[in-house]
Amino acid sequence: MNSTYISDKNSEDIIIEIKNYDLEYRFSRFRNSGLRDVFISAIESPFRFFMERAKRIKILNDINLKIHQGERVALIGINGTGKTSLCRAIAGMHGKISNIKINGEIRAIFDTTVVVHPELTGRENAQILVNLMFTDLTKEERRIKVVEAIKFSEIDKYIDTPFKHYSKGMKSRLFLSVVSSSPSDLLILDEVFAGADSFFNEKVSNRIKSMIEQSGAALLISHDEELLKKLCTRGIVLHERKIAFDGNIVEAFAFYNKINLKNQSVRRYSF
Amino acid sequence: MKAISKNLLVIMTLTTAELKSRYRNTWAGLLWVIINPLMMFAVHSLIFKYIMKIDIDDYFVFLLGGLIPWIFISSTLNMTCYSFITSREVLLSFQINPLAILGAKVIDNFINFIIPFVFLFIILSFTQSFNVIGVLLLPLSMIPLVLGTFFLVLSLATLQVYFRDTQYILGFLLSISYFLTPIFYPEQMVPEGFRFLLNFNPFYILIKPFQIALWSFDMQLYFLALFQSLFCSIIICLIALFIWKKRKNELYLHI
Repeated sequence: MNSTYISDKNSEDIIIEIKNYDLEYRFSRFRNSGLRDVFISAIESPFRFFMERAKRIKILNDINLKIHQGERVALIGINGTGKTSLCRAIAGMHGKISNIKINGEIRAIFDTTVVVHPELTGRENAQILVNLMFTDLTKEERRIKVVEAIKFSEIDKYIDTPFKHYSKGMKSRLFLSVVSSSPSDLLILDEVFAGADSFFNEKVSNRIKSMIEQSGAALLISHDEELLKKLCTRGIVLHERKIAFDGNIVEAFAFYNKINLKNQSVRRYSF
Repeated sequence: MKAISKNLLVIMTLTTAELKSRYRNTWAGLLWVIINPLMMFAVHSLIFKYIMKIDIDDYFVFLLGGLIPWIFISSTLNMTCYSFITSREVLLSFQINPLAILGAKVIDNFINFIIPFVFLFIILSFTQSFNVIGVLLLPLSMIPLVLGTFFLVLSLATLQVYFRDTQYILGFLLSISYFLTPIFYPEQMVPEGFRFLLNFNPFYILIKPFQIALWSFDMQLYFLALFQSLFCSIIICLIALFIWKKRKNELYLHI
């Protein structure tokens, strides 16, 4: 059922190239336990303690992927298929991986409602976010970015009140305004649209679109089919830790819905 | 070089944010930072100087050199051991170097250490005499203290992710170390046959240059203690980096 996506971009435009990448999770016997349990295990059965090897669980299996300049790619799959893990691996959160080649700068956001410092104001939190995300800019460029993001978020009226009093939607607005304020070679957004109201989603979608057009590519994760169809040109379906489909976004959703239906009917029969 | 300046900006941002959110519009927060070690200092003085009548010259100065750095080490370890878990959301949401989070917490605690240390030093300087060279050499003593504490924090915070009872074991070990470290009694009170054991107490090795600089200054002894302290912090650093290197790539899967 695999489909290979044939890009019309040339190889010089490749931003990410992943070859035969596996991600494993070491499932040790000490899982959810503590040093006390380690001590007890070592005393109780020293032979088993030193000889037993940790079990390994595959989170991602044989991932092969290329992302080119200007592409808007949606990662689709049910929860637990490894979408976020793949994005984290691309963002370098699992260390340097020889199977993943990156050509450019990656900006990855995995949550828009993270309260960095609830006691501080929205403006101060925007400054913190800009400092954490745009470390390569000068002080003045970062200051301008904060001003511009606040203006775009349309919450200037409440910007000097503590962040803890903001609604989920307001936090999301401010966050997305900062995130989408600057183009990068590859932008990874994982479920970042959740929480923002529909009007703002539209506004931010347009901004992200123009941002991608300006320079790099984007890798998006969302359960919002309509939004992804609107934003993305390419869809990758992750199923059972593997890439099951890679192609046109509409076809990707057709494939995803088909395997979901199949899975549901299998589940019905098994009851 | 670029990576260092990026991480420095992240550390500075997080430290400033921590300090701002703690002391926002309130002097009470700043006061607490002084009151807490001050109370500890007062209680130790009362118990050991006036009730147990410990026979040590300039006991307040001795306490300043031992107790306050001990409070810095123990409170930093206690407060930051859980940092990767408490910063889970931030770590999972941004591409932040986890070491920057620990760095910010250690600097925050270091500022909280400096304020009462300087405050007590000024108060004591009215009644006690300090060796000027010893006082001038104090900043040097802070280098291994901060480095050693940071790398201890790195080891413990990493272990905490994998072994969730690390903080309880740490609390227990700190309680024992408090009695085994000459911070409210001088090294000379330890029976000679057991004194060699102090060479294996990393807390004491990190604190000793402070005690010598403030209480019993001797140039040769000071530099010997300082080099021991630097050596100890390098050993702690190597152990911490070994643990970190082995575990960092799976950190995000476990927090």
